[in-house]
Amino acid sequence: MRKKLLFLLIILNLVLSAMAYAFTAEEIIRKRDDNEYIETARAEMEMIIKSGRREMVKSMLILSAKDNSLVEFTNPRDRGTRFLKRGEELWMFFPDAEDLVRISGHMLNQGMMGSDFSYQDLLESDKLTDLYHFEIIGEEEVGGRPAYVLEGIAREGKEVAYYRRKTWIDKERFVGLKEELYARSGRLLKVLTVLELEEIEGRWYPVRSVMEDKLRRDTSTEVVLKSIVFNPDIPEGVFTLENLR
Amino acid sequence: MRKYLFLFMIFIIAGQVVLAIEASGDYNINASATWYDGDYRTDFNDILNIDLYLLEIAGSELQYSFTVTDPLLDLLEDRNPSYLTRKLYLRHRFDDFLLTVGRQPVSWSFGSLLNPVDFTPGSVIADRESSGKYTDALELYVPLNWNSGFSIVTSYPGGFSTDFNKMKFGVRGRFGVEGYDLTVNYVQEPHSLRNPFFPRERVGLTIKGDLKDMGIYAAFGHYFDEILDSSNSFLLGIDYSYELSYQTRLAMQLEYLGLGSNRLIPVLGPFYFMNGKGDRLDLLCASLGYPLDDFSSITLMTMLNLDGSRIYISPIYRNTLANNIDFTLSGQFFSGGEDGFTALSTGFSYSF
Repeated sequence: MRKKLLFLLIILNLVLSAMAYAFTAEEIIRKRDDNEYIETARAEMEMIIKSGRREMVKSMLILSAKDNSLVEFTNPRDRGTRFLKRGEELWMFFPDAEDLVRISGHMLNQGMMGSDFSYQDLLESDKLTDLYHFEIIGEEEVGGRPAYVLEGIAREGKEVAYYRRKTWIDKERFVGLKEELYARSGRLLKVLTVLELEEIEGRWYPVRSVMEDKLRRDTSTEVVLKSIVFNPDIPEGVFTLENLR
Repeated sequence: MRKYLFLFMIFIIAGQVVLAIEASGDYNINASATWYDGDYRTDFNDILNIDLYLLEIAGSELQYSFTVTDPLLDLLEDRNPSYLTRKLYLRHRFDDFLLTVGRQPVSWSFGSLLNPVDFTPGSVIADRESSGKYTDALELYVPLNWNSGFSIVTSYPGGFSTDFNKMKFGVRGRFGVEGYDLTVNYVQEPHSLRNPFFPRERVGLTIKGDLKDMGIYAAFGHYFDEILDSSNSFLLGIDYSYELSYQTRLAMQLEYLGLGSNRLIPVLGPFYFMNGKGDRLDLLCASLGYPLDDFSSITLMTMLNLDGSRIYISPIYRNTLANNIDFTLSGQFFSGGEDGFTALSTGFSYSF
């Protein structure tokens, strides 16, 4: 009897200490947001759009500050084309005619310049914790790294591109390693896999990722972060139509 | 004009260090076949577009863009190629305003297929752009906030002149109101270069925004003159994406244009042939875009004169090939009673 009691006490102690050190889903996502959420940044990025054996490269400069982003394409075909996202509004600058046109809201869910990323995917600025309610559903290894597996369901009243997301977060670095994005119907839409991480300015950040559209065969878009500066000085008036010209 | 422009540019650039020149552009080669009035005709052409940029220095930006028409064909046939300067301007950011001086595009598009209240009538219509939007001009842009501001334009369609009768004036106010893009403009054509059939002055109003999942827009134009009767134009349009599968969306745009008088036909630009039987014109224009995959798409554009006399259909297939080469295959079918034409064209474009 004493032995049984001792055994139970040891087990209880182990469980309680394990619970004391474990993170809640909210804490894990918050830690991920601390790494990946960008307050302000200046970045140079390349998108490699692949379909079968064909591929197309789009390069761009991005300035981002909270709800606002300015994107300028620098590859030959799209050179000079710019987007300004300010809050929920999207504006586009066409370099030839130097036209500034407000893009209708429904276009935000379309693939950006033919990629598997929508404008929402690339320019969504809210923290994941504000948009989804997360729960831990397990632990797995991704690419040799131990990871928490979390499931996020869109919070009531929040406008999100995907109703449900299953995300694998590195247990030590608290950075996303993989993500599955689902429609409300439960259908798997896209899979994002992080191929390379780098420690930049003291935070782990994905520098090479690939997004696969599961509704289309044999297509993917690889995103390569060429450079990024966190919290740069962004002069006033950058996110304006005047500057978009 | 060029002398003054050059001196002005030298004045502004003087003392500033030129850091670099960047160049980009595209080379296009096209072949087309047209059947018109029982005749058959084929055309070949090639076009070289070059854009040169100087890096922005101390708030100044100098840009030079030009087009060479038929450089290869002219070389083969020992002819002199023709050049068009599309842009040669200096833009300087002052503390409270932006000044652009020189040859520049002045386009007041707001997202519609047809634009009856553009600065130059018919210069950008249904994705077709004419050289009419490039003009020697001086533009002053005064921002009011991030999405609102005023543009004041003085252009010289007949070449630079200090004679007020030869100047064209335009003012445009753009305001962001509750998520809507609202513009108000006024244009006065030069007195000495007036089109005797097109009213010399106009005021225009446009609005664009969202209504739930649909984009909506409208425009109103009032055209008046000391000699000609005044008339109006109305435009109403919607755009919408129909989800075929997630991220495969059919992009649709549908609009109605009403012109109160045949005199306003210049606002249709290259689509002037849609003019119907009566004195007024009611036109329905639609565009349907479908992405076949990440690299290719089909677009169908149609115009219909509501008096039933004219219809125009244009399917376009675009495919992005390897190494920055694009392929386009398009058709144009026009039926207008005794008039009519069919055209097929194909072309390759290389961007660099």
